[in-house]
Amino acid sequence: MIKLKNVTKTYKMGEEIIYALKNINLNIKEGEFVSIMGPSGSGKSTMLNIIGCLDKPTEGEVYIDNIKTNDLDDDGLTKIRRDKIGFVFQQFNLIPILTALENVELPLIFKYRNSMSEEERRKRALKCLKMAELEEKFANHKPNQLSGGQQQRVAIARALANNPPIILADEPTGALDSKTGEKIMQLLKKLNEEGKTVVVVTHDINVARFGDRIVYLKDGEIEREEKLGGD
Amino acid sequence: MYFELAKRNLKRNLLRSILALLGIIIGVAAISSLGILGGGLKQGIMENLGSISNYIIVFPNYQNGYTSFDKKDVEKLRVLNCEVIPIYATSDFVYIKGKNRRIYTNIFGIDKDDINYLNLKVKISDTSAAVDTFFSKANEINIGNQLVIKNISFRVSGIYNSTYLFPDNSLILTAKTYKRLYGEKKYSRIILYVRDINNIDKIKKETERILNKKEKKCIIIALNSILEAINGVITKVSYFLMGIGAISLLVAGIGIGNVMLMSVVERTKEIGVMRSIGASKKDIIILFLYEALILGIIGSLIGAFLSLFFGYLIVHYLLKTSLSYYAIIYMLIGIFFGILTSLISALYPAYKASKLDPIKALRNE
Repeated sequence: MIKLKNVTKTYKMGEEIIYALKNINLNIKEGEFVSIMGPSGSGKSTMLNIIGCLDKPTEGEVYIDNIKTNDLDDDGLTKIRRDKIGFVFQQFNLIPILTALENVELPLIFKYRNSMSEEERRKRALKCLKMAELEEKFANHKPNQLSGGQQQRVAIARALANNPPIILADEPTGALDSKTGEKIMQLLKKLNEEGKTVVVVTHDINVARFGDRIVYLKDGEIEREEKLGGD
Repeated sequence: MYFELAKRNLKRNLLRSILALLGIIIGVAAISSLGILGGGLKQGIMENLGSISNYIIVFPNYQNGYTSFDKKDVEKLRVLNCEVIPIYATSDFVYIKGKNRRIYTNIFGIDKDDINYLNLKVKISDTSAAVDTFFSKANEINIGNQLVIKNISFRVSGIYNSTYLFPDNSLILTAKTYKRLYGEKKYSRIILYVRDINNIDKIKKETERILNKKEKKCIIIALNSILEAINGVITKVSYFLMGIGAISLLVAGIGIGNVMLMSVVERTKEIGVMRSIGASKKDIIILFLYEALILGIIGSLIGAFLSLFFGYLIVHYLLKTSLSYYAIIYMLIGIFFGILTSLISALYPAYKASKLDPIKALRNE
């Protein structure tokens, strides 16, 4: 589902070249739940950005659902993000002026514009909120009227809106207390069991343990991998 | 939904949106009301001079020895698609009763029914006369005063604006009265009243063909060309005034651009989020243009209606004419430029927003 081949990402800082990622090779199969762990500055966010088609590698090849993304232009990358990937952020990143339901509708609007009826769009968004286990009575609440856990559920519902095969979560529990965080991770696990490929970036081992596999990053390189569970 | 999103974004910083709106309102109101002022000027002049543009005047050609027209000439012109108004004319002394004053005046005789075509807004009977404003002012004469011509008394029953047709210091009697006084059977000129201004040239040519068949018997003058020249000048003045109004709209545009740029900076992170969940660059541009469009439409509509109010004040109290259809044209022009300015000034901020690097935008707090 996701394949990184000899991926290197460098930044220039003045005369100095900084390696954010060094020769990364990673293969994530369909339906897998992979946690990426590492201290800050280890390159894990850069890696997530590259997988999420927000960033391009300096060298190497990236395949998402068998599509080589290196050659795509901005519109092409936007389409991949829209159709193949659902993003979940640490700070939820909901649009504050939109209700929970409207936040979930947003990716549908970007994809279908006016070709999807308002009614159908609402139905789809409500279904996603249900999948993210948010009670329907919160659908018309604005983000600031919701708790952190509820907001993250809305964000997850938004990530599910266009039914992408991949969910990328960047420290999804980072802004939540441990109990709520655990519930969110259980939700991601459930979605994974329903067939989504999930990649979580975290520095919390308790979060990472939800994965089938943990990839440890250090100084831009894969230090080691650890298989978990009975798979 | 784009519209809804744009609307809510504008509400988010209501005061700022209102200030931007105010700029557009003032700009559009300035353009439209100055336009209306120009239109009012034009209409004022048309009201004074426009009445002569439907007329063709036919004079006898004195150089070839012709000094008048007879009944036959008039009858020949009756085939034309216009009203043929034969005019008697002479000069004589008029005695003003009660003032003990004798004035030498141009005296015209016109058929009672024909007077209606001349747009003089006066009524005369066989025992009354109409005088022009110059004559009335110079001799302090009002409706109801008595004049004496050839020992016969006439009541002044109307006062008309002097024009090219009937110059300053003139007096009009009915044709019947004129003949009783002067016994004349020949006409000194013929006026043709053409209802549709577009036919003026055609009728002028046909008149030429009918009367000047053998030799140049008469001189034919159409007055619309003079009017067109005056109109041209006023139109230019109008555009100049609107140009001044456009400066305030330009300032409004800069205001909107400024507000939008601030908005882009403040919403950088949101833009990043939208990009990451599937918004293309185009979507971001559309979103910002919608905001500008809403500001433009609301501001322009309010501005245009304000201009109607200002326009009414200017036209009514300054020019002393009335508003008419042209006001709507200038309102539409104002609205068009108001919306256009808003959109143009949002182009750069929208472009800038779309160009944001999603990663950097997401990292922005």
